[in-house]
Amino acid sequence: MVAFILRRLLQAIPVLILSSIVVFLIIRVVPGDPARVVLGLDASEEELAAKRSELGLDQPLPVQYFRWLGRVAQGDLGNSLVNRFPVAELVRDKLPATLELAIASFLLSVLISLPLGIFAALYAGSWGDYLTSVVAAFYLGTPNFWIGMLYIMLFSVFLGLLPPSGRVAFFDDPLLALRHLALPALTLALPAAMVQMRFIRATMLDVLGQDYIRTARAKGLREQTMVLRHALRNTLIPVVTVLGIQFGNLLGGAVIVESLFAWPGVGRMLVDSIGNRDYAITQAGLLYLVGLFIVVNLVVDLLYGFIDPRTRRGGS
Amino acid sequence: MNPSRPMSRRSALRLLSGAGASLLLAACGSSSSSTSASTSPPASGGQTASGGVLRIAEISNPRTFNPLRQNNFWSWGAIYDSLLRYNPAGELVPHLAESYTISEDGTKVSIKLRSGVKFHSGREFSSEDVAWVFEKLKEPSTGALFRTFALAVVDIETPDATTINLTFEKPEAGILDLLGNFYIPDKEIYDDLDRKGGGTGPFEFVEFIPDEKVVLKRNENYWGAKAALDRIEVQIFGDRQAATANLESGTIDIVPLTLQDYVRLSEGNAYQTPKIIGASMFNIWLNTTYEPFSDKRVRQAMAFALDRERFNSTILLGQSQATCNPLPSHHWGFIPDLDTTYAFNLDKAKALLEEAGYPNGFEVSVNVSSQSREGMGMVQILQSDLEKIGVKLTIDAKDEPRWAEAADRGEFQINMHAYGRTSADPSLLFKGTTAWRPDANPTGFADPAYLEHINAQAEVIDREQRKPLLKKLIEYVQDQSFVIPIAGSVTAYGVANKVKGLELLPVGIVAYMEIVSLS
Repeated sequence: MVAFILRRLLQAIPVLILSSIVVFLIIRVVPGDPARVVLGLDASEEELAAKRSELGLDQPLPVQYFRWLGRVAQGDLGNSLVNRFPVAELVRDKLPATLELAIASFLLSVLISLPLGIFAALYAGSWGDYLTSVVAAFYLGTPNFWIGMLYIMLFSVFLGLLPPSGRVAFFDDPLLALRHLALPALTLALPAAMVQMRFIRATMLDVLGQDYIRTARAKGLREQTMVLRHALRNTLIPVVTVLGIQFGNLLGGAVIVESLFAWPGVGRMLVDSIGNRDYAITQAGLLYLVGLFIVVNLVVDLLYGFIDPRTRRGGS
Repeated sequence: MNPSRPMSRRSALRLLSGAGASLLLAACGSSSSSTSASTSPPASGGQTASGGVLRIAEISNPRTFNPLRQNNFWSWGAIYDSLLRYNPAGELVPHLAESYTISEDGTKVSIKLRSGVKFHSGREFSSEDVAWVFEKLKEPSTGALFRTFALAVVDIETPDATTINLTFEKPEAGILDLLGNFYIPDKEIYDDLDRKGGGTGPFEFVEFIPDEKVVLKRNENYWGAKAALDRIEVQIFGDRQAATANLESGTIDIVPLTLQDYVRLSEGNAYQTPKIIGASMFNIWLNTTYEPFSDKRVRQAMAFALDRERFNSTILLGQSQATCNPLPSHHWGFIPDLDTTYAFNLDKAKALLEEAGYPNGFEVSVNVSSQSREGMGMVQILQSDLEKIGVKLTIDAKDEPRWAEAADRGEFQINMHAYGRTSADPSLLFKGTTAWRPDANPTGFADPAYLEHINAQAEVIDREQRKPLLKKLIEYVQDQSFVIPIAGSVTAYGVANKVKGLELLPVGIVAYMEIVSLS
């Protein structure tokens, strides 16, 4: 197992280097001058040239890249081109918020999708199944920001139950932290849960039609045991793959929700940095996302082995 | 004034406008050789703090806390003091400067500074700090908007700690604007000013967490009347409507509003909704190096084809004023006679195109920022109107940095834009902003006569003598029509009723934070 993990981590290094080159080049190919962002539209060409020189942007691209890579190898992600904050410090500050929101919404989505998906599969064609389909269609067809805005208006403005924005660190005040987390987590979790629910339903229906399930039923196995021990376990193998992708999306794709709820996460920082052509932050942020996807994929692979011993044996 | 009671908003404004009046009297009465102004400092201890935390919403991070840079941030007036400052009537009154004198020929300015002023670090403020700021303003990498004026200073003398003498090569009316925007940061933390602030102002910088908040606290050692508030917390949102929902749920006290929210919230009495028209001016640039626009008549045709009233009534929800003037109506240099020079008239536009040899129109594209709701709206109106006179307009929408780069490099045929500094001295507007600068203008427009017009009005300090020269300049730019004003922007705030004493400056930012209090 340890050898497997180490091998996968080593495989990640070329992926990270390749990603760093692609990211470095892509954001520089996109027109837009960080010096102009810093100094504003009214800056003269002389002022812009001085700022570019100060930011090291007047150097050839290979020189810029290897300087940056050299610093990254030593753990220095550089400074923001706009406000000069150390990027490593920024990522370190934003990461807990992003992880907190991603984990909370992921757990919430699993808690919602798993029972609903099983229910919809077991009672396929019933009014309950249709109802879950309608709810899923609503959440999947409605933009996140609109749903979030609706939650704010309902739970914060009209009912005054939950704070509409901001984040409190969990260890500072757990209850208040959960209250702040509730609306953004719910906004993110429900659409994700609907995707997962539909997938679980379809997979479970497929599994329930398999011969071994018919055999189990014929043997007189209790329905509950048959569902939990046989159907669900086999359903989970493809579901884990989807959950892994969903978790990755939650880690990097919560941008709109972070903006809406003033949640200080990495996604929002990344999007701001693209708008500002703040290369240092964009590079570090995207590398962080690539790194996280690698870790999530690794965890998914490990989970396969746990759920299905056959893959573990194959792996070893 | 009873020292145990908070200074009322009215008292505070009286103090500020009284100082303004003294300046005005001094300026108007300058049949003598020089212009000068002075005011006595606000009574120390004249105001007792009422406390509380003011929560302000911002939609994006401050890009810097460096007040010498071009990019604006409302907290400058809270963290920093300027030598002069604008009172609510838009007049400049002494602030860190106790008084100043401008010589008869307009080339020398002598400034007497307040004594006993300290930076937040505890260091004594002196004339050396002012001289240092002038030097920083001159450096290209500072990116200072007022560099044009700072470069005009040929000699700086600091005979003592509270006196500074400036000598200019020639008279420069814009010097008062420079002094009014001359915020003085603590030079000892200058290298860190992109991420933290430090000056002599009524509030001290506490922390800035990007995408999260900026926190300021009351400066207990402030040289003037101490601020009423204990703290100011700025929460940084990424979404304007979410910020407004926070105002409505009571978690935020001041929010910059969208026009839709402004109209909605200003209907009742639940909130205060101050607004400023014309902090920036929507306009289009025409690239004079592009063949149809190299002909002045085609440019004038475009000016007639702009339906400013429709833009105001539909996109700006009727909250602004359509104008052909480069300056907003509240500016002293606003010329009412020139406000309708190019009133919407497609027949005149068509006639001018025919006269210029384009009876069947032509094809053209407009560079516009996709992030500007107003800009996108205006170019769609223009597109439909130009079609009626045979001009096919293609909308080329880009994200903000790409749009800005294309605009500044002159890589456009038409550019949709909004220029700021409209409340500043006209010299700054015409010399210092990209839209109007006479040299290296991105529209490609170059004419020695233009610079002569700018300089002619800039060298006259007295406003009454200056106005006819300014009118000539505006007539000239209207005739040339390389930049065509459309309407003033609308800057609006939603403010909780418990907030007292809030004022907006003509530049559209919240001002005089020391007199703001919570009831």
